[in-house]
Amino acid sequence: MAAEYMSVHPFDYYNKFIQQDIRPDGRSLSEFRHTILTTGTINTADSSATVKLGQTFLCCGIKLELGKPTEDNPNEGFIVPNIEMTPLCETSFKPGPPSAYQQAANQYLLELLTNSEVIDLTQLCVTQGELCWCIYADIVCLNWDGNIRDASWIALITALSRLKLPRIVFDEETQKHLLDKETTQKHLDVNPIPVSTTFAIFNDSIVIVDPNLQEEKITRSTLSIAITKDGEVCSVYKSGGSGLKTCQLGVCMRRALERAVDIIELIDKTA
Amino acid sequence: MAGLELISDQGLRNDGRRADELRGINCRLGVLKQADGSAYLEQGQTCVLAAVYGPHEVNRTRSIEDRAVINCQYTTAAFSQTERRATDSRSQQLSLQLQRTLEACVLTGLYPRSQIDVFVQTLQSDGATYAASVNAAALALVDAAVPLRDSVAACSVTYADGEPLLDSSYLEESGRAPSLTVAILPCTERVVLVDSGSRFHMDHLDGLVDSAVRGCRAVHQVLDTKVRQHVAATSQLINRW
Repeated sequence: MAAEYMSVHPFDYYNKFIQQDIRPDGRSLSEFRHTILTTGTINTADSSATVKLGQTFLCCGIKLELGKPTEDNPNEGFIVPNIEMTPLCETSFKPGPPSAYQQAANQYLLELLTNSEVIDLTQLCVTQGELCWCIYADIVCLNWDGNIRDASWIALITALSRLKLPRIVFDEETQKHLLDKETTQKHLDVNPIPVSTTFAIFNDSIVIVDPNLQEEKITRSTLSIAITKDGEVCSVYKSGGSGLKTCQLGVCMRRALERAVDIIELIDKTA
Repeated sequence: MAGLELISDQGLRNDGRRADELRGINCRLGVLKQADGSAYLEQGQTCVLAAVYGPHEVNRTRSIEDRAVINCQYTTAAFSQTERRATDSRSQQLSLQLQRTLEACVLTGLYPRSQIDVFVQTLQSDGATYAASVNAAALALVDAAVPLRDSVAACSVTYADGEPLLDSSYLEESGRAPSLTVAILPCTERVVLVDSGSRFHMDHLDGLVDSAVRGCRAVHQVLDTKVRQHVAATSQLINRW
């Protein structure tokens, strides 16, 4: 009976729960879903991380390749994130080129990576102007139950923090670059990691944390905040839709900060 | 440098298996909540995830009057192989091949004018990837309770030094030795798929196909046991309520 009511009047169904300060899945308005993080899941990738945020389940695999730096930035390498959402994760995705939703999610990751300067790209440079590392981070979404941004960011940043760069030496005799297998590979230097928290605004007034798919569909806008555990804000992204009071923004910031502390602890704890 | 020896004098392969030994198979059904049926399958280091949606409505241009359309999508994760690869036309070809393979086993006549979606994602590739995809798709169809004429089981075989090596790994497949992938309907023992791009003399064909069919039978036995265990466990939960 509840299921029928939910499919015919999703908004009213949801409203009845919200008025009691609870959500249909039993969470309070400011509660996150259970987050599980594992690393090293993919043997063929140079580094990998799998994240399960509630039922949103995705896997990030990193492959290293060598390339030429651009002329504008001859001493920097590249990090290329790419989210793949196939019909496997949810039927609304069609096969073929990525939809606007996917591209927007991708762009969010790219901008957060660049703007937060969490990884100094100069450490990816091998020879200035000639050779640099290209880090391809492919994120495959296996099951989508909302909040792709937060989940994919956790997977991406964990996989990057576990990545080891091989050493490249230039052999004077053969005038070629060689992979130095003798030296121990070193981890990437990662600056304080920002953590992304997404909120959805229900009925133009009520802010809920970590929306699942059903909640994403009935709300008109989302707000994503990326903040480090020391309170450095790296990104605030709210694109149109419902309005938000400034005091609500402050509440969201504080909640995002709490989340950042929890997630950094999780990332550090994970082997 | 002489070719890499795929099978030693003692009859052992690079990973320690004998010629007719399959790799360890692990599977779990019902892993994805959005899909009607799903399965995760590991054959050695090859890991594949399959999801089934449907049968559901489809628009009139794509529907067939008397049976269901099976829509398959075979995707390989870019990080699944040693070299990073984005999706290419080979994936499209394999999607079509998978569709035809599954059409042989699904009772499509029961769902006219509808569509059954089967999506397969390869997460890690270490040889026999297509065979693993077929097996995972079959498990996902079972999990989705789609009526099947028969299950389908696939196995790949590589011919090296006069011996057919079952369930080839990436190392064995990528060499110069001829490889073959076969899929059968286990109960009726009919061959539904034979895929080989390698060159070998026709005298070897029977031997290869026979080995592959034996391999498929063995794979089916393992998967059948696991499905029954899964059903027993799930129905125990239901009975407890």
